Amino acid sequence: MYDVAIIGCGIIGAATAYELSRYDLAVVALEAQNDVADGTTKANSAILHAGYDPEPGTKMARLNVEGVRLAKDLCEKLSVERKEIGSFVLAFTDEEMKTVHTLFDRGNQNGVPGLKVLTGDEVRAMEPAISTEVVGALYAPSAAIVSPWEFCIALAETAVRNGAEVRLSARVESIEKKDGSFLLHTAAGDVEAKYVVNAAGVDADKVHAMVGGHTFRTLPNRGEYFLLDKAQGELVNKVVFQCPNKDGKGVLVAPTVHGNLIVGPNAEGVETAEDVNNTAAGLAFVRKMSVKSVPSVNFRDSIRNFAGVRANSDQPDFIIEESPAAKGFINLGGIKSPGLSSAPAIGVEAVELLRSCGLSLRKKETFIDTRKRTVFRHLSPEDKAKLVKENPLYGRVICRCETVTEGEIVEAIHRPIVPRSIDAIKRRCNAGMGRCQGGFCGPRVHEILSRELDLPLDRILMDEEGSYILTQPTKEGK
Amino acid sequence: MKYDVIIIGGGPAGLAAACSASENGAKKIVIIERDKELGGILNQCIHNGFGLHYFKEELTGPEYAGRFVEMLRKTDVEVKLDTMVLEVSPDKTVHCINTKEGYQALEGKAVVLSMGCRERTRGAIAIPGDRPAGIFTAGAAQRYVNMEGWMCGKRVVILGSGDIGLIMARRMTLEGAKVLACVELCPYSNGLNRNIVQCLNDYDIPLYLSHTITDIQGKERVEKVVVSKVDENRAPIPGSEIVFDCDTWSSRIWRPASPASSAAATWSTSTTWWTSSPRKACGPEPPPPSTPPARKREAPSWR
Ligand SMILES: Cc1cc2nc3c(=O)[nH]c(=O)nc-3n(C[C@H](O)[C@H](O)[C@H](O)COP(=O)(O)OP(=O)(O)OC[C@H]3O[C@@H](n4cnc5c(N)ncnc54)[C@H](O)[C@@H]3O)c2cc1C
Repeated sequence: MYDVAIIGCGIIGAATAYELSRYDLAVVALEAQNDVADGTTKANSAILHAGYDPEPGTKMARLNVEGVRLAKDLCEKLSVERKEIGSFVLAFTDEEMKTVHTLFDRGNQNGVPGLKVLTGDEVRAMEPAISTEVVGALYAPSAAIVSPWEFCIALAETAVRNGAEVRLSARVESIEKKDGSFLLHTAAGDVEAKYVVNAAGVDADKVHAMVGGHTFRTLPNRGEYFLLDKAQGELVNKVVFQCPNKDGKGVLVAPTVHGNLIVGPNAEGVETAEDVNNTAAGLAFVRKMSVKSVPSVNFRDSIRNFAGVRANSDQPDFIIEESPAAKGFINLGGIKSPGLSSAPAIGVEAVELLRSCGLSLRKKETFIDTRKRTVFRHLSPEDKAKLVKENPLYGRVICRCETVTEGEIVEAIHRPIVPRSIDAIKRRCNAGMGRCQGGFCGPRVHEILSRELDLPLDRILMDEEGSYILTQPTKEGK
Repeated sequence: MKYDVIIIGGGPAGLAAACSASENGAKKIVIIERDKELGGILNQCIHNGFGLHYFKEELTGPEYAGRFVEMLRKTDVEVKLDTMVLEVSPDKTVHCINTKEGYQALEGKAVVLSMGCRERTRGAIAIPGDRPAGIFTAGAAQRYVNMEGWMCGKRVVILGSGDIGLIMARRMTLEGAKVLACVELCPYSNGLNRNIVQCLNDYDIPLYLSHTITDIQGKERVEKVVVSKVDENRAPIPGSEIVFDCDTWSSRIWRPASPASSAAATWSTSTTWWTSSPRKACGPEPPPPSTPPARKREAPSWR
C-alpha cells in the first residue's frame, strides 16, 4: 500500500513526486508512456514566464510568480539548463500599447520584478532584429528559458533517489474506491494507495471521471512550432512575444537553452492529447506571424517541426482541489500555460493540499537535493582532457552536431530512470537535437542502448511503445 | 605537435588532399577522421560506378576508398581515426579528442577542411504530419541495412530520386521490402538513367516526378504517406493526393557540414533524401558516384 500514487509524470507529476519525496512516505508515480516528460512537457515554448499574464488574484498568478522563483534555485541544484534572458511583449499599434500597459499593471500586482514599458526605439536598441513596425513593448527581465524535459527528468530522478518510485508504461485504466484507499488498475498491474494525485495533463478530466468526478473538462488545444538551426540561435537574445489574444500568448520568437531558435506556436482546438501532428496551415500561420516581430527569421534553417497540446479547460484558472467526488483524490487539472513556470509551486501546493486532506507528513532526515550531470561540451579544455583520461568513453563523440560523447550517453542510461529509446537519450543528453536530427547518431545511440541494456537491436524503440525501428534482419544479417 | 598540413575529414576529398599535399612536398601531414576507418561516405556506397574517371575502372565505394588508402600507405601521412575535432582556433590549432590519446591540441601551418556534407532531414523541408518512427535519412537506412544487417522497413517510399535513393530502392527490394514509390519534387530525376532503369524499372517501382510528400500519418510508426503532385512553383496541387500504406520512408538531402570553428570553407552540395517507407528528395543531388570526387573538388586550404 502506497501513501500516495501520482497519475502522470510530466512536469506536474514530477514536481509533486519531488516535493513528496522530502517526507517519510511511500510514493509512486504511474506514467502511461515509456518515459517521463513525454506528454505536453516535452513540446511547449519552454519559457519560464515572468508572470504578468494571469489575472491578479488567480492561482495561476500566484503559482506562476512563485514557481519561477523556485525554479531558479532548483535548476541550479539539479543541473537543469536555464537562462534568465528576459522577455518582450511587442505592440504594433496604439491599441496594443494599451494591452502592454494593462500587462504592466497586472505584472506589478502579481509581484513581477523589474517590469518596464519601452518605446519602439528602446526595444530595437536592445534587440536590433525586431521589426521597425514595433511602437513599444513590455520588458520583463525575470523571464527565463529552460529545458522543460530536462527539468522534469531532473525532478523525477531526484524523487527516485529519495525513495519515490516511478513506474513507466503503467497507464491507469480504471480506479476503484475502497474504504480509505484507492485501487488503481494499471497496464503494469494493480496499485493501491491511500491518496491519489491526478497529474494526467490533457487527460486529467478522463482520470477524474474514473472516480466519478466531472467538475471540469479539458479542451485540448494544439500549438505548432519550428525549431531552427543554431545558425539562427542568436537572431534574438530575449523572448519576443506579441500581444496576447483570446487564443493564447501569440507567436513568439526566442532562443532555446540549447542555442537554437524556437518559433511558434499557433492555437487550434483539437480532439485529444495525441493530436500532436503538424499541419501545413498551422505552420504557415506561425511563419507569417513570426516575421511580423522579427522579419529576418530564415526558415531555410528549420531543422524540425513539432506540436504540443495545451490542457486548456472550461475553467478560467488551474484546477487544484480535492475532488468533490472522492475524498483523498487531488486534481491538478487544466494545467495550461504557464504550467511549466508554475510547476515547482504546484508541487508544493499539492503537498499542502494532501496535508489538509489528512496525510501526515514527517520530513526525512536526509534528503538528496543535488544532481550532477556531465555536459562535455561545456567543460574547459583542461577538464575535457582530464575526463577523457579518466574514462575514454568521453573521448568518443557520438552526436557530432551537438558534441555529445559516448560517456554522457552511458551515464544517462545508468541514471535512476532508465531511458529505453533513442528519443529518451535525446531528452537526456541532447544527442540527435542538432541539425542532422539524429540522421548520423541515431544508429549509434541505438547500438549503445542495445549494448548497455543488453537488449537485441530490434527491441530498442525510437520513442513511444510501438515506435519500432527495425523490421527484420537482412539476408546476410540472419 | 606541429604539422605542415592538418586535414580534417578522411573521405574522398581529404584522402585526395593528403595524397596531393604529400606529392607536392609537404612533410608532416595528418588526417583526422571521426570514423573508425577512412573513406567517409564511400564506405556506405556499396554499389559500383566509382573511379570510372580517375582510375578508369568501375569500383564500389569501399574499393574506391581502398585505392586512395593504398596510395596513402606509401606516404608518411599520419592518420588519426575515431578522432573528433572540437574546435579550430584562429591560430590554426586543431583541438581534437579520441579515446586513446585523449584531448590534443595540434598546430598546423595549413588546415584543410574536408568534412563532406550532411543530409538534410525532414525538418529541414517542413513536411506536415505526425512524427512517428520509420523516417530515415538515406545515410541512416544505409547504415542499418549495409552495416548492421538489419532492415528498417517492409513497405517503403523514397523521397528523392538521386542515385543513392535509387540504389537503396533496389537494395531494399532485394532484401524483401516492397518499395512502393520513388517520389521526386523536380520534373526530372537527378539520378543516372542507368540507375533508373536498373534500380526502378527492372523492379516495377514507380517514379513520381513533380511530386512531393505532403503528409505523414501514424502515431508510433509510419502508416501512411500522402504524396501530391506539385505545380511549376513546386506547390502541392490540391486534389492530386495519392496515399501509400507503408511503414518507412526515407529521404536524402545534403547540405555542407560546418566545421567546429567559424572558418568554414565548404563546397555546397546537393540534396536528396529518402525514407524507409516513403522517401523523398529534391534539389541538387549528391555528387554522382561516377565522378572522381576527390580530385575535382580539392579541399580548399585554410589560411
Ligand atoms: C504549445 C504550448 C506551449 C506552452 N508553452 C509554455 C511555456 O512557455 N511556459 C509555461 O510555463 N508553460 C507552457 N505550456 C504549458 C506547459 O507545457 C504545461 O502546463 C505543462 O507541461 C503541463 O505538464 P503536465 O505534467 O500537467 O502535463 P503532461 O506533460 O502532459 O503530463 C501528463 C502525463 O500524464 C500521463 N497520463 C495521462 N493519462 C494517464 C493515465 N491514465 N495513466 C498514467 N499516466 C497518464 C501522460 O502520458 C503524460 O506524461 C505550453 C503548452 C503548450 C501546449
